[in-house]
Amino acid sequence: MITVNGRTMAGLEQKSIEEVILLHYPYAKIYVKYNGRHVEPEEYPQLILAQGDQLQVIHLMAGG
Amino acid sequence: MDIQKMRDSRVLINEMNYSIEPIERGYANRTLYINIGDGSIQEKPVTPLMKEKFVGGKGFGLYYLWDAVTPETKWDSPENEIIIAGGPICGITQYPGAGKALVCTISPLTGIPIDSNVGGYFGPLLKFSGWDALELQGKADKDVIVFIDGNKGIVRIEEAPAEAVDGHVLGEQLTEMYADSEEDKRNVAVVTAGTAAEHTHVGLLNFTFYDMRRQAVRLKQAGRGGIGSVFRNKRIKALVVKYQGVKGDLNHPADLKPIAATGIKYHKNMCKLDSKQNNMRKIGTANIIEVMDRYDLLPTHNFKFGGHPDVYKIESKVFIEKYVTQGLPDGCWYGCSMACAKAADNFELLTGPYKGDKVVVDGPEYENAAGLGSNCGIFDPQAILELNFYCDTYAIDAISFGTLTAFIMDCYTRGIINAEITGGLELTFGNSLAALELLHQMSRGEGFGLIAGQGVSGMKRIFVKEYGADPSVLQDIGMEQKGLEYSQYMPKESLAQQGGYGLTNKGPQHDEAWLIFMDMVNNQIPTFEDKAEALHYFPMFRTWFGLYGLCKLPWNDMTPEGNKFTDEPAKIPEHVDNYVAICNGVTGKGLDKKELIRESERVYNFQRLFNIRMGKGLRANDAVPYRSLGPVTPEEYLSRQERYDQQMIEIIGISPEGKTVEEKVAITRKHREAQYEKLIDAVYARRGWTPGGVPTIEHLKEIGMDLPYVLEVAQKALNTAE
Ligand code: SF4
Repeated sequence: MITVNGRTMAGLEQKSIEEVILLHYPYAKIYVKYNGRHVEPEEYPQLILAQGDQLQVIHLMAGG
Repeated sequence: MDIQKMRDSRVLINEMNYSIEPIERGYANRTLYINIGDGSIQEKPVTPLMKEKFVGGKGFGLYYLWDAVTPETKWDSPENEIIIAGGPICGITQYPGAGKALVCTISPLTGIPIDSNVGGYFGPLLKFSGWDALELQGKADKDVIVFIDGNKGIVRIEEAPAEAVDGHVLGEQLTEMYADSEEDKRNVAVVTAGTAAEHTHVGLLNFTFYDMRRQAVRLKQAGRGGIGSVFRNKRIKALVVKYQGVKGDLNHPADLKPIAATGIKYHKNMCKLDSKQNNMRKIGTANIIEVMDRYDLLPTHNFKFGGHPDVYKIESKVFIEKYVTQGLPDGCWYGCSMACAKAADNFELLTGPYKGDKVVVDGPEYENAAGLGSNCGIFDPQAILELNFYCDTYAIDAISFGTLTAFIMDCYTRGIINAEITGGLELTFGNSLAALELLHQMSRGEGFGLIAGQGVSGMKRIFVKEYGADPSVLQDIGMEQKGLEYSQYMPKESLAQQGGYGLTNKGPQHDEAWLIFMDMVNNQIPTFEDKAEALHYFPMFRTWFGLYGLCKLPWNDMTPEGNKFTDEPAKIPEHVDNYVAICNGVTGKGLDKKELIRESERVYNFQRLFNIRMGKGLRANDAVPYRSLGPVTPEEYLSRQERYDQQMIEIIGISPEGKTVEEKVAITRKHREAQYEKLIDAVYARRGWTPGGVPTIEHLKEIGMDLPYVLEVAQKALNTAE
């Protein structure tokens, strides 16, 4: 299982971070931590998720 | 427009001359009191106590309002006031979002104080004319206009029978009348309501600014809580301020350098980052329409659902490409590089008294697109813009209109009301022509528009009393709390945002706390303590903008690079530091960011006690309609069955196997209602309140809101609770 923002999510193994973001997180103002490490958008396509990975996709939206 | 005829019909009621004094460290050090009823005009000093305890803006508004009213005062009592105040930072031009005014009154919807934050030039020009606040009391028997000439030092009250009432016409008429030339129009700012404010409880105020590039008057709204209804009930047609000579140092700040430095840095970031982040300069807050839909947060069909397959028809791209003029620096005060006050130009109206006119539509903002659009099942951008325009010019709060119309459509679809009751209006989801006709009826003061204009809370009473509706059903689906309609975010899946709406002072408006992403998506505040901390910090931080005359959007709608590496990215620490620097630069106070929160705590708790004094503000008043917590109907449950079933297993610990939908709705409801109660306990404790919702005497003393008359109200409430 892969955890995203502290919750387990099925069906993400073998997907790149880029795919996960395109699929689930369309908001532009986000930052990503992959197993505790900040990753830049340039790295998203190369990083392929595997069993036990932890992802944080933090949205910086605080409303009007 | 026959300006001379309008001038000729004016009758002078009273005039006062005053001396022009410089502003000192953001304060004019006096306020202007006008009694519309007896025509008196008076100057009042700003005392050290006012500055220390209430700061300015909304703080001054609440301070004066408390003095003016009694617990028996109703929205239409002569002693009710409308107070407009900028705040000490209001009017600086170096940092974006510094031209806001705060408007306070006793609301016709809630019976307690409402505050509304508004752009346009009136707030800053009022201060530069020598006044930290304008207090309006009494009721006239004929339509009046108040004019303030900030260069000559004149305040005048005049009967004004000939001018229009609707905002876009009256704004143009008065700008034309008071400006000496086209160039001079930028020095005139007008406050109007509109015709529908005369017949409803959801009336707003329009604050103008003159857009030199478009050569048109623009309208910004003090929308929430029916302030425009109070305005017209007092027979005030308009307020006009004229001040020539705006420049960057008129506030005579203690130290301009840090203000300029933070401003330059911010503007550079804005230019660099906006197109990669929120596109505020292209489409303003409407950038999030499709985002909200994708995250299941866009209220649809009276908050039943969080999205809809037709949203692509009203996504921000459609407005950018087809309607909203691009490339103009649309700031609602000088120096706002965020420039989100977008407009659709040459928009041809298809209905109503201005049919065929080509107008400027101020918007759409996100709230309008969601409230007038998806929440009413309307996915037609032309209809949304037309509703947006008429809401503004008639002076109807578009947020309330969206939510109350969605409620009507829900009731109509369920057979609680029918065409006989609505006078033939087929108010079903998606019927934009019926929604527009409802709006026109509000303007004309006729038909079902009069009932709808009572707001969701008023309609609930009428539907039960007159048409035999089940009160418990209406309580579940009527999206109002404390009498105010919900703004347009779906809170069902975020407990923190349920509190962000429910545990507010004025009612469910998102300007106190917007925690949906932090909570539901990011999962950054998982425990009750985390949520309570967020529901303490963010409402206090956001209250602070209203004390100083600031717009919140530059705080959070652009995020500096490197923010993600900070300790608390959600707070945007660099921008918080900017506000500390600007505050100290203007006022010379030497605050730090903790003291900034303390300033807000004083006013926030004062407002809570004001509510208690007016008979609301206790735990019972923080109850919310169940639709804001979870699925009311099997239809809603089934629309997200997988999610709710999974939650039942993982969170509630019950298997959904073999249960009917109705049973599952009931199990989910029991759990979610209990969660909300636990949240209240945690938040009250964090805010220094008793479990009944009353600020404790110790807490009030600790934060410095220890005025005897405030402690007296608290003590009385505490005694009653024991
Ligand atoms: S960010 Fe938008 S609403 Fe705020 S001051 Fe600037 S233009 Fe006005």
